[in-house]
Amino acid sequence: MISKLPFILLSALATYIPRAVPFFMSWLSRLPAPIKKFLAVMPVAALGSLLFPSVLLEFSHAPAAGIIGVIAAAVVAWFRGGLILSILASIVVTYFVLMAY
Amino acid sequence: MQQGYDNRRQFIEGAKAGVSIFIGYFPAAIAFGLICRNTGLLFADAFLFSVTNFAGASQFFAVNLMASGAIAAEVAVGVFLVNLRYLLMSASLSQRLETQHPLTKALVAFGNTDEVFSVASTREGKVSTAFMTGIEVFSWAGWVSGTVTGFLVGSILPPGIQQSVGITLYAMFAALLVEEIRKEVRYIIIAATAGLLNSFFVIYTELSTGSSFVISMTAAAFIGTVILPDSIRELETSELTMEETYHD
Repeated sequence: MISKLPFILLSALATYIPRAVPFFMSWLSRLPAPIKKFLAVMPVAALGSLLFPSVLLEFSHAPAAGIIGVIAAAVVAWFRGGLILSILASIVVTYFVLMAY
Repeated sequence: MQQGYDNRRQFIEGAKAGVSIFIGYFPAAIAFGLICRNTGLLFADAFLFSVTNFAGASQFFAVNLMASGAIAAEVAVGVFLVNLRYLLMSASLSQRLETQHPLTKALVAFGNTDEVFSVASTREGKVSTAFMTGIEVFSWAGWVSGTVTGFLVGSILPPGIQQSVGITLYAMFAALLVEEIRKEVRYIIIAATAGLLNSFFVIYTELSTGSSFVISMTAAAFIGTVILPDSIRELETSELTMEETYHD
């Protein structure tokens, strides 16, 4: 195995720059409203693209496991909230679906 | 003397808030450590990842892209886009930070995660450096120690469980998305557009994983900006938010 250090450091930089730049360029707090809105909806768009189609391809021999696992997480998050419980529920459900295959 | 006492008090207040975030970060970081192990990263890589990035969703995303064979530039662009929202958070925090010393600002900026920001923005008036130090050091410690724990625990988990841990990442994304949609139900349109576009690009075109992601996410965010009314919330975000843990 070889180290992925270059990826990690680039990724660190790509995280640090948006966090640090506004501390030194105050005009960034006066961005026009549509740009603020665009930045605000970005995480939601990111989550949609992060989920699909990867979750279907992750368990290519058992795509149902991915779908059912994600639904389990979503249902728990909707009714109970909280990340930990959603993830645990999802792991358990996925485990049983994979066993059933 | 008074200044020293004040600083210590502020640091302790920050540390208390930081411990709450620590508790929230720890299990999420365990999942990150497990995923690092499962995608074949070295222990040192997983550790350095959390030490240097100190980011939630974007670290999961980066590991995922790396595992799918993306090149470093694609990972960097994707991570940058996922993290663009920090422009807004840091812009807001920078105006409320007491100190204007460049080095202090540079350090405070490093630890300005979604949760740290949420807590700092509930403070009245100016936010002190001592408070930010307390909250950031403890939050960071939670993220790093959770990552290490997850990576090490991975070796003792039975294979069946290891395999189902592959869902962890997506479970987290789904839970985060649901939290967003609970705040603004129309966000589901943006997420669905992004997911459909990305599926289309990945399945029917020759675009790389990284490029598909960047294009579909940007397009969906743009469509969302155009079709949603201006009244939607602008600054709160909830990546990895454990609301119950820091509202004490």
